[in-house]
This record gives sequence, C-alpha cells and structure tokens, in this order.
Amino acid sequence: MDDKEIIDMYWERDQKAIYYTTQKYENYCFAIAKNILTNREDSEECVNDTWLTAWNEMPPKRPNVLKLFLARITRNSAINRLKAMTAKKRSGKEAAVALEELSECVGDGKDISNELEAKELEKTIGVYVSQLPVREGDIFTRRYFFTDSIKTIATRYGITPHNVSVILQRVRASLKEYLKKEGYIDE
Amino acid sequence: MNKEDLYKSMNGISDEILNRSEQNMLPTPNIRKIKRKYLTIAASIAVVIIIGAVLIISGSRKIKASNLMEGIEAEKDIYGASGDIYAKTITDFSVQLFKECYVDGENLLISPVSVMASLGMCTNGAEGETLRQMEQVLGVDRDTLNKCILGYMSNLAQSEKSKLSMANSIWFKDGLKGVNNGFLQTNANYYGAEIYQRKFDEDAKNEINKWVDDKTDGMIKKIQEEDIPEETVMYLINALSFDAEWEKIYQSHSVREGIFTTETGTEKQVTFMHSTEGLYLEDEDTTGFIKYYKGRDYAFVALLPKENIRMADYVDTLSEKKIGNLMDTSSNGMVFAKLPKFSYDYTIELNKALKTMGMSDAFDFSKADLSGIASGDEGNIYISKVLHKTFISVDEKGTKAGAVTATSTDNGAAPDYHEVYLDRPFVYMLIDCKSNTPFFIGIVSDIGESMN
Repeated sequence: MDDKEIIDMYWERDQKAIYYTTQKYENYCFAIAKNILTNREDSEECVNDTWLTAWNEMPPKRPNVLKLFLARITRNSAINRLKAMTAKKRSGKEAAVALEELSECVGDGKDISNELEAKELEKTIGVYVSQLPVREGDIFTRRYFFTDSIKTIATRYGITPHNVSVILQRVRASLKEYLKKEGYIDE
Repeated sequence: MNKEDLYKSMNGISDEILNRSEQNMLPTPNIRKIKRKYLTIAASIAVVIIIGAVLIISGSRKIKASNLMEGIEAEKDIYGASGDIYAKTITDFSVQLFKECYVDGENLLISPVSVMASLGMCTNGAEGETLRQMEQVLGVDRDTLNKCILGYMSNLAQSEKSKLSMANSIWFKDGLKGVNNGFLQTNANYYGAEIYQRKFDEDAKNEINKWVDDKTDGMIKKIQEEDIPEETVMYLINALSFDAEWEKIYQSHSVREGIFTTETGTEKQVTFMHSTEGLYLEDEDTTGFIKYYKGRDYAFVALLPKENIRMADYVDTLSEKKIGNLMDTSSNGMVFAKLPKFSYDYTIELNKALKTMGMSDAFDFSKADLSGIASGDEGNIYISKVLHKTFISVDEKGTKAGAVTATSTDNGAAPDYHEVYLDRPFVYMLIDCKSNTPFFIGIVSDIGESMN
C-alpha cells in the first residue's frame, strides 16, 4: 500500500490506517526514538505515541512525505520524553551528547516561551540548513535531526569520525553567528 | 534560548534535506541493521485410539505392515459438509471437551477436531447403544460427522508459510480376522485413512511412532512409549500438524523479558513479544485480539479473562455461541498486545473426559459394540485408550504486513486503542479463518522461569 492511500485512510477516519502505518514505519520510527532515548522500552512507548498523534493530526494535515511527517512526530515525542528522563537522571546518551554540542550555539538572548516563537525558530533553522553546502547540511541533519552518532555518520558518508567532528564544529560556529544575526542570541 | 529549544527546532529542516541526507548515504554493509525477529508457531497433535479385545488373538506372523488399502480407493461422488455445518459441529465439541479437560492452574492444549476424526473413524465400526452414545457426545449422527471431517480436511489451506495438515491411519493386529470391508471403505472415503495390518511387536511400535513422527513433521516423536499390550488389536491414529509464520513481523526491539503472574500470584520470568494488532475482541468478561498468520488462512485468537475473573469461572462461561459472538463482533482498532513466548508438550488420556460426556459403553469390554470393525470370533473389541498428545511452540521466525477489514468512524473520533497484555493466564485458539473453526484450543496458566 502506498503512502497516499494510507493518508487517504486517515482522512476517511479508517482505523486500518494506523495498522498499515505501523507495518510500514515501525522500524524507522523506532530507530529515531532509540537514537534519542537509548532505552528500548521508552522508545517503543514513544513510537506508540506516534501512531496516536498521527491519527489526531490527519486530518487536518495532509503530509507530503508520510515517513518524514512520522519522523518529526516521533522526534518531538522522544524529546519530550527525554526531558522527563533527564529529570529522572536516565537521559539518552547520544541525545545528551548532541545537546551538549548544541549548547555551544546558544547563550543569553531571546526566550522561546511559546508555540509561535518555537515555529519561528524552526523556520530560521530550516532556512539556515538549506543554505549550507550539501555535505555540511547532510551531516548536520543526521546529527541534530536524526541524532545519529558521529561514528555512524562517518561510516555512512565514507569519512573519518574526526572529519565529521570537524565539519560539525565548523557548522555549529557558523550557526551561532547566524542566530546572533537573527537576534536569537545576544552579540 | 536554550539548547533544548535549538535541538527541537531542527524539525524546521525541510523534507527535501531530510530525504537528501538519507539518499546521500552509502549502502549499509557495515551498519548494524535492526535485526528482525519473527514469530512463528508450530503445533502438532497425535490422537490414538487403542482398541483392545478381551481374548488374546493368535494368528499369522508377518513382519512388516501390509497395506489393507491396496485395491480400496476412495469412491467418487463423496462430498464433505459445508463450512457452516462443520464449523458449528466442531466448535461445539471443542468447547465441551476443552471444559472437561481443564484442570485449575495447569496448562492445556487439545485439538478437538483431531479427537473427532479419530472417534469418527471408530463410529464407522460402532453399532447400537455404543454408536448412539458416540453420536450424542460428538453432537451429530455418524454420516454427518463423516461429511464434517471430509469437508474440514478438504478445505484446509496450504501454503509454504502456513501449513495445517491432518492424516489418519488405522493399524490392525495380524490375526484380527474378518475386517469389515465397509469399515475400510468408509474410512477411505471420508478420512483418507491409511490402513495397515501387522504383528504388534517392538517393530510395530517403532513403525507406528515413525508414522506419527512423519505426519507431525517431527514435532511428536512417540505416541506409544511402552510395549504394545497383548490385548491391543487396533490403533486408530489421527495426526495433525500446524506450522505457520505470522503475518506481522516481530522486530528485535519488540522482544523483551517480563513477568508472567500465575493465578496463585507466583511471578515467572518470560519473554514477551510486543506488537500492535488490528482486530480487538471484547465481551462482558473477555478482552482479546486476533493475530493472523501469513496468507490469512489461519489465525491465533487470544482470550484474556477480565481482571478478577478466575480462569475456572471463565472456562465455565465458554460456549460455541460465546466464541461465535466474540469473533463476529471483533472490531478494528489499535491493540497494543503482549504475547509471551511459550512452548510445551501436553499429554492426556481422554477416556475419563469422554465417559463423563456420555460415551461410556465404547470403553466397556462387556458393553462395547464395535462389531462393524471386524466380524471375527476373537472376542468383543472395545476402546481401551484414547491417548491425546500435543505440542506447541511459539518462537521467532519470519513474516510480513497485511490488511484488516474495513470500517469507518466519525470524523474527529479518537482511535479505539486497547491494551491486551497476556501476562497472566489466558485462553488461546488456533483457528481456520474460512470457517472460524478452532483446530487447537489451549490455556496458558503457568509458564516461564521462577524468579527465585
């Protein structure tokens, strides 16, 4: 069954849609959740949340790419769980490292205190990544969207882990400048 | 802005770049892929009816079994009953026998349709009150029973990934004279029975066990452990084996350790397989789900008594009607299911259960009338034992995704989702989906390793 048919089923409120989605994307969503949460059980619960959220969001949403739509939901759900886990001092290892790396790019400045501001920041990041050269953009995306480990990224792009680290460091520095320019952090 | 805000905002990266980052990656020979674990189920059964005679028979001495079916072929224009007839007959008997066999706190696995097939062959040699009692217990007259079993066997779906097969054989002791040709012919017509005659010595035991081993795909190695008793003159054997792969994949992350709690509160360590299922079952005292095997010819039906209902009380409520209603009202929805891995052998001598159900004369050497089997003067023949041996194994191996029946709900409604966790005693059935007929029915009461 192709994704368009599955999305149509969501719009028709046919609950088979969820079943077909689980069949097709359970592995994929689980991998995303597990990268962030590390723990299998938390990751599975997170993926179960994904199916319910997808049902609640379609309609009104009609995603262009179902797989990535689910990826975003899973990622959000995993990050929310990560916060709770961090509070209980059992945070996901890879996500904790990625977050620590991103802390280089933030500082005092604009507070993201509501949904609207969060959406604005998403747009800003979207524009920033779209302007990066392909290789840098891809590696940055793998690391901070999919939370792939440095080692995995190195293997998948045929470069050394050191190379990956250097590229990420360079992009983070450039992102910090961009965020300053956009007024998200103080000069 | 903090680092969490920034991390979350990566959702703003466009679909195009997300896709590109995936497409630009190298193939994955060195990457550990998520290993898919699969669940398959294998179950088999052998039922043997051992028929004895009061007098010891002496006779000719052959070494190997001779095939009595040489020259006897199933007649043409013999038809089986339709699905709706055999489904009700088989399910009704299944539930009755299941209830008779249930012992509080113990695992159970029986294949009532196999018992029916064995007894069915036997009814073709029964007369008078013996026959009447057998028909009453089996729920239909002899002719209808023959047609039900033929109808059932003819409709068994076979594929490479899901196979249910049934075989019948009759073994006569050398020297049993005057075997009735009509008995052989009817069992050939309706049961496709293989019929042999041989000396009942050590080799005979081995030969019978080998036949069972072959017909159950090696799942039941021996039906006859001890030497064949001298008074035994005949074996009617039914063997049924089922080997199938799930339709839906169990992935490695879905398989993990957990606790199964018996009715007495003992906690056992088991391995659970988690999945999302599409067909939910519920009535006033049951929750459950249906899980298909590849090809959707067969399915696993899990019935979990609601909290605080004792299994013994639950078993009492079971009936053909209740099971039919549950299956008819299954609803589409999302079921978060948890199924333990389990595997066990089960052996039961069914004499007591069948006598309690009303079939006593056939077991009584002074009353049994099985004169339709043979007309010799060896003495009155009777059923000395109905031995039922089953095996089930649920383990990991392959499958793929599939569909569920269509339904719609009002726009904006939340999806129905349920949790059915089989982490305490439950009833299960393996059914033929064409007719919703169970061919195995069991209870998992006590599995896993003790926690101490």
